[in-house]
Amino acid sequence: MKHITLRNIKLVDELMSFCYKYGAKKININIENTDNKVIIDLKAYIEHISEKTLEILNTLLSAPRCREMEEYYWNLSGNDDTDTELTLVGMMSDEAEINYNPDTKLLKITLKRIF
Amino acid sequence: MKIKIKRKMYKTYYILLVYFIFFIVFGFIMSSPHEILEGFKKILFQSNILITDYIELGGIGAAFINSGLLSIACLFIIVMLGLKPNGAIVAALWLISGFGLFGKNIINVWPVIFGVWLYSKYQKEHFLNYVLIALFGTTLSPTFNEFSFTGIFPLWQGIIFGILTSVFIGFILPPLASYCIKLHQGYSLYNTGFAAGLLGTVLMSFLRLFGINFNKRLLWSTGHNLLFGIFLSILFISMIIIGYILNNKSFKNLFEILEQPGRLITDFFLIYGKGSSFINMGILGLVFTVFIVVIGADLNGPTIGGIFTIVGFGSFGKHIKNTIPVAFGALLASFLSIWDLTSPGLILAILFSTNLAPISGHFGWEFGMLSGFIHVCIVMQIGYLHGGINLYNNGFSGGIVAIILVPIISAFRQKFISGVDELKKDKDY
Repeated sequence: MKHITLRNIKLVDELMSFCYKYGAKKININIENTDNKVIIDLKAYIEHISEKTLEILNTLLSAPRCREMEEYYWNLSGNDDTDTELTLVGMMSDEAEINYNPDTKLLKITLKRIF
Repeated sequence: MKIKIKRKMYKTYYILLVYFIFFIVFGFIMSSPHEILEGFKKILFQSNILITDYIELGGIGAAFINSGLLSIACLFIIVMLGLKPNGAIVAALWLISGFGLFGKNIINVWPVIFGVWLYSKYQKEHFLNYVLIALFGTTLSPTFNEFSFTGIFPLWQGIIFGILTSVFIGFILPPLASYCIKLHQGYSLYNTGFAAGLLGTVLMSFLRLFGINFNKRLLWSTGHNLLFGIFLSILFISMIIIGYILNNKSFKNLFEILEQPGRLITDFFLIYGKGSSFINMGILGLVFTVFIVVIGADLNGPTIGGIFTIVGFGSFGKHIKNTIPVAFGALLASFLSIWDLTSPGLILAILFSTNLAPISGHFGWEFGMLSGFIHVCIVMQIGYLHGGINLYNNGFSGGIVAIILVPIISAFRQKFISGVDELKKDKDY
């Protein structure tokens, strides 16, 4: 697979766009690379995010890994600040985990990509 | 990483297979075996550039059997690669079946697909990563026929040159198609048409340097509106009924689909489920069939191909709310143009203008109409550039329209309709 680093950057870009869209004031990102996988950990402090939005986020990021879609459409992610490409993020990830704590206002998104 | 292939014939593939077999049966009902054979000879061994209506060239039987066989062959590849159905795959298969009526046949698609396969081997990756590009990439299939059977070269040299050129096109198409998507940001749904248009333009410019040019072609059948009207109505009503049954005998999620802007990637199939996608596809098919009949145009290979393409993308971005404004914009331009409203080029421009549906969905109907209007202006001029070898000529135009319009609209428009909206989960494949 070519442009792996750029693809990872675009995924992070897309997640950050989502967080900014919902009013994130502070975002922390941790990216862990190993030989055959990358784990992207994002923590964003968001004042309020509705259950419905979280459900939508979960639905889109739960899209099954579609390598044929990734190879064709990966260039779409992370380039537009008026819309998100979270379905594509889901299709480019093997696992996604979302957690929002209303007390700490912390949204945690973890993505795992296996190559 | 070694990819595990799990071959499975999903329910969606069974449904599509039944439709494609229905095309073949319809072909055998409409023509005698002799007519079909003669028709196939013409389809396979003559020029296939735009606009070659297989129904006019080889008869109804050969055209529909070609479409059915080609679609089944592509479905077979998808199943063998173990791909789960999604909106893009459904769209690609309907697009193939549509263009199986005007430009793609059971022979000329393979060199391009083989070229993409070679590229995957060159990159040391599995072909399944590239199969979607391979299927959409068959837009340049007429290149093979043009070099092989039009007398530009002696037959055998022509065949060899045709194969080599088509394989080369397939080989370089994946990076180009993937790159081109950045340019229009997913606001044109027929991205491969844009990439192939650029590639076709370069190829034709190269050939014209040596004095090689392709003859213009216009084969357009007429007088089948009643027959095809009934055929398509049965097809699309059955699609709505199947979708309704798969959707737990309801129209749930249909209104959610209508609220989506439809920009790439909006996969209705994965997000809302196959039931609501089939209903949406059926509705789109019926609406655009009625549209063609009402304006007095012909239902034939190219227009049915256009309708099938719209239907396919009914699982991958298109719905009546985002397509109709664009089609009306295109219709308005057609009314004002110097050409007859029902002329082949204009009718196809109106149908395929719906590749710009995301502009309507994301920015609003007025911009959708504007994009449709500009699309007609451009598409009527650019066919010359690639000499008709790019079957998705409207995708080429759509890409140009989106590249011009989107940054301008984005600069002045404050309100956008985002894809993160009211969604519901349905993951039964």
